Amino acid sequence: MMSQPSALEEKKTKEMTLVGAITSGLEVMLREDERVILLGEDIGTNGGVFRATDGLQLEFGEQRVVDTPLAESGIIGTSIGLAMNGFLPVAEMQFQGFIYPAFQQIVSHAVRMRTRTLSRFTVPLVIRAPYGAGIHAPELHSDSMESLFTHIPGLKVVVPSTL
Amino acid sequence: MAQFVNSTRANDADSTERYPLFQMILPDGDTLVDERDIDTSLLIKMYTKMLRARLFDQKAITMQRQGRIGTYAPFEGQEAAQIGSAMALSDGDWLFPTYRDHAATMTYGHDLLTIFLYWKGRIEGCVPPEGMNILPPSVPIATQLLHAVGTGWAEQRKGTDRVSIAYFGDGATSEGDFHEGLNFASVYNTPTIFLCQNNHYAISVPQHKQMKSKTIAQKVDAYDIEGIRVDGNDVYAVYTTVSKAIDKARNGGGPTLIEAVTWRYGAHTTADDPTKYRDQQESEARRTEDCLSRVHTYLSLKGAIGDDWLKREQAIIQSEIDEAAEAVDRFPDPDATVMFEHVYQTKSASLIKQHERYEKEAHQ
Repeated sequence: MMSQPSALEEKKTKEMTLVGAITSGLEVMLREDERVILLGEDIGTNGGVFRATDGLQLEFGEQRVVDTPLAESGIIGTSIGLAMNGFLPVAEMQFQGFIYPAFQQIVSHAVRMRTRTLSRFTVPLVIRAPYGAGIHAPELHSDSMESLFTHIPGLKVVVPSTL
Repeated sequence: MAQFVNSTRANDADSTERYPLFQMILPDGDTLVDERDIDTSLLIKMYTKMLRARLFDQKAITMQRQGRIGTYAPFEGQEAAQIGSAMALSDGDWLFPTYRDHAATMTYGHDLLTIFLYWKGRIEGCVPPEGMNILPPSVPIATQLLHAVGTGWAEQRKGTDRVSIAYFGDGATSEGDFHEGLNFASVYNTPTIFLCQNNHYAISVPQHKQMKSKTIAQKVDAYDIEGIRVDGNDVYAVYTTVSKAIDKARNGGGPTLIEAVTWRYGAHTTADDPTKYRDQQESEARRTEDCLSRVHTYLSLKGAIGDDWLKREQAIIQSEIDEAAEAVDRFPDPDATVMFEHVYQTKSASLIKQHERYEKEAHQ
């Protein structure tokens, strides 16, 4: 710890972990916009395996923070329908290494519905997927395939980080 | 010694009895229901729409042969399943077709020009009339079922009584998305109609190689939702079945899987030869169960249509189709810059760069 106030403290920002920042961001959005819905495996009662949604179901209820069946294509496909019809779904893929069953839904539908329909139908959908190693998880839990997704038109790939 | 009794298999032997085929008008024009249950003027409307679809389909095949449109997926034989179901929808409902469901989309609201344009490879062919929820044809198999669950779920959350209908074939029931779609719809009780046209072939693979189950309707057993098997060549039976399922969905009763048993007379698309994988004589023999001819027989026997009705209707419809076909030929060339305009709501820096470069080099 530094002895004098850091630049962050001077700007009245709060120090938190990356996961904590995600939780905070989700909480703000859930409060500010009722169209926001979170969907994913174990994100409700359990708060997500990385605790990214910790406490959010308790605060916003089961309609806003939804524990879905264990099916990645189902989560993204259903979210596409919700997004086309007025909602702003935020879907969690438990690990990026488990996103592959949803690959077709993302590439064939989510990203090109706007193009195919000349913007008549759009899919405002956020997909969150943790990547990387360092948590001592078993094999296939540390895939870092975000570069694959950067090659897909219609998709934006964002990686949160510290300054 | 303990006896192991496989009770599920024992029940399954009679799946066709557990899911009996619902019929109203038989191929010979006879009815299985009280004739007062059949609204003659509505049936004439259905017949007109089936005629329009069939003549469109024939024109599209001709146009593909003439090189005026690209590869085309004919639906001849499946008009009743598509039109009976589409006529049960109301404004604001959501329709998710495949590439073989233009009889449904033209009935619900697409104009013929739009459908021709789709097969000419034009993006305008994916855009429905303003305010209509007709999605572009799903080309990957069964993926659209999940979208229909999502839009239905959204309607449920908004508290409206709108429903979604997803069209798909027998082959789609092997896909994971079919099962995920049924499961999500079941878990969230979404107002979704799953309309399977079982035409017995997924391109070249017959039903018995696709699945061991005797019916598709019985697949709902795993999801604890309602499944119904209906004669897909009986337009009134399809309309009645789908109307009931929609009513149920509008009133919070959740999803239904409907298996419309039908047949496509022609090829999977204009790019394949069905004689390679099935007996086309047998296929032609199925015309005795045709969806149009049975309605024609019924209405003629009742005296509801006269001798000249068919000729007169055909002439009116044919001129509408020919006009749309000519409009396709005259349709302005695509503007290539469209590819930069509808990727994101706000163009990214790299997209702006690409667009600028295109403008610079395209006119050199």
